[in-house]
Amino acid sequence: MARLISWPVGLRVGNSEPLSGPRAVGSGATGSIANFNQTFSSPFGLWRWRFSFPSMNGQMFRRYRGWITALHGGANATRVPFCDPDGLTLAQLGVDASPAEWQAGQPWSNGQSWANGQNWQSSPPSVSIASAASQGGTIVHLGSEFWGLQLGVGDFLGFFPLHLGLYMVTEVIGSGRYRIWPPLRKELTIADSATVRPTMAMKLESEESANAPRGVAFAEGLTATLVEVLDYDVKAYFAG
Amino acid sequence: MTVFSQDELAVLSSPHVARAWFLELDLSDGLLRLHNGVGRITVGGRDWNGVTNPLGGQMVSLSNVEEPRFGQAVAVNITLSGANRAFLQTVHSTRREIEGRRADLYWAAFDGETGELLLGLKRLFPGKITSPVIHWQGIGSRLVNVTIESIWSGDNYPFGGRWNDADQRRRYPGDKGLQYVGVKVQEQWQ
Repeated sequence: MARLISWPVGLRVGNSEPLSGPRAVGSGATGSIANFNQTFSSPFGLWRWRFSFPSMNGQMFRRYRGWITALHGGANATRVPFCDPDGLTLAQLGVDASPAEWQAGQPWSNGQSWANGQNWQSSPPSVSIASAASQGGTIVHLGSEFWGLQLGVGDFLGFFPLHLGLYMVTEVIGSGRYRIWPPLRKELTIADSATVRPTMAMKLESEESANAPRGVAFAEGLTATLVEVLDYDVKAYFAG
Repeated sequence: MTVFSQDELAVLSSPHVARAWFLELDLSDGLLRLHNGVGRITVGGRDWNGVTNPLGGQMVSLSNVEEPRFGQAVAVNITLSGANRAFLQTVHSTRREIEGRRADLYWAAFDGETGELLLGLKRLFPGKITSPVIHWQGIGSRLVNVTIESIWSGDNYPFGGRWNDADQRRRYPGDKGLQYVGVKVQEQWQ
């Protein structure tokens, strides 16, 4: 049974680029003699991303090459956490903390950190779902707390619990309603929550779509091209 | 017979059309419903499984669909690849039963952004399955090739018959007028 593997802890993405997905299959255009162009494409898109990673060595590279190998050219899927560097600021997210406090994270209630000296990591507040939406829907309705009314066109969002998918706002309808792309991979209930740290399940698109070259001092030029695995496919095929 | 109504033609003449083919195979172990997009979608009250390879290649390839006309036996070639072992085994063990079963090709158009159905399923090619061909290539390539013949293939003769003696006698019993059409006749004058 194929597995769903976690993203290596501490692996940062240097460069990420969305690529054209399966909508490009069988797409094209026909033109009339008067130059009226009709374009056509396949419906139903998927996210497809190319990630480049910064140079690394030592333990991080061991974790990286282990992760790439374990993905087996598409046989296994991986969780891909998205953190948008162009996302809302702390103030817009509704966080009352300085960047330094945000970086430091939170200690336990007795003031102690974890055994490795790290605190609990800071994460943006989540927002409730104001009305349910069915799978395949493209309109979501968020609650009014924190950043629920602050999103704009191009913002990434996701949902939890147990909802793998990355969505982008493509239209602000108003009062917490947004049109998103791609269509919802799983139905939303009012018990779910929205997050600006979405997690998507992805797999390598082929045996050749990742590399792990190692230079004299560093592993450099690391890239991986991943394609989205739909939420219900994860539950059907990658539940091992 | 018009397949598309005026309203549907208006949808089809819009500047952008997102469309998919839907294939309903009546296999011996039940109906198999596939479409050449991605994901599981519900159209016409039925669930269809997407078999497009998300890499950009296609798991289902479809040859040109031609309009069935008199005098022309049309067929559509369908290639299912990337099929898993269980599916290949099913095809192999039921290949005799598959032959001659019903296979219908449908077509539908969707909204390019939301994936909503704009133009419902149109049965553009009702047909029968001929014997499936399984190709094995290398370690990873498995293809199932199915030819779907039009149900009109059996009506593969010109409308009204041919200009030969047999058809002339069928049209007008006893008429010998075309008795020597197409026959090389040698006459000798002495």
